[in-house]
Amino acid sequence: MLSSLLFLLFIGTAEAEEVGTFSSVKTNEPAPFNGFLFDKYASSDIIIFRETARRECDLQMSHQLGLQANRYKLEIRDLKIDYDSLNDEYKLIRENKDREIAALQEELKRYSSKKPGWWFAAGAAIGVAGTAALAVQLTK
Amino acid sequence: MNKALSVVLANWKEILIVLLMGGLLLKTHSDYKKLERAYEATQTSLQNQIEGMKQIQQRDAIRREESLDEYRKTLEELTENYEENKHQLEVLKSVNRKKYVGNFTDNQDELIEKIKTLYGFEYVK
Repeated sequence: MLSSLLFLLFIGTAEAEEVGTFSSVKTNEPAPFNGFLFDKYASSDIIIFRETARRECDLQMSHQLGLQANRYKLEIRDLKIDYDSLNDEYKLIRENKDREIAALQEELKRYSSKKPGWWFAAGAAIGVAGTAALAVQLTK
Repeated sequence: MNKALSVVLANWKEILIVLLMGGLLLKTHSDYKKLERAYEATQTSLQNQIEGMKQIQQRDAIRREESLDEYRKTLEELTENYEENKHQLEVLKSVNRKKYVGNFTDNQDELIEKIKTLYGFEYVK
């Protein structure tokens, strides 16, 4: 890594400062046709551009795809956490409600009469007696 | 005994009202206790639910933090990898540039062939 960095620095000082130049020429002036004349630096850059364009594109693309995949993986993990959380909350609420219902049913059983027939009969007798007493009092 | 019975018979309505009032009071108290127990059962259930929710939230927070750490780590690796590859490409470009610049004087034929291969241009002398 360090060696390549030093090498790049060396190259940089030696070659990168040389900016390519070009000019236009006309037929037999002294070129065989109208066109552009590139110096060695510009020509090298043109060749290198063509040589490395695909690799550079692939590099950019794989980097961007990697970033996107990473983002989506994060989103997937977050959604999974949400799902697990909601599932756990649902289970928790259901279990607690079941327990609550069981406790309330137990309480209800405790206070419910074991002999409802007797209670009915007693209530009816008291009602009849009360009504009769009231009727007797009113007719006096 | 007879005197007590005569008092009861004489005041049976008042005694009945007192007894009924007493019965009503006891029944109200009993109902209140039942409601209180039902309320306690609901309260216990809700407290358990709150505790469970807190645990779930804490676990979620830890998992989210771990997930975010993983994201950051991968992002760092990707960026590092990209920078390294980019750097290598820049080095390659510099090396090739130097080589091609040198070839202009040393080996022009190779350059001509390269331009022909890369662009499909025809070389004119």
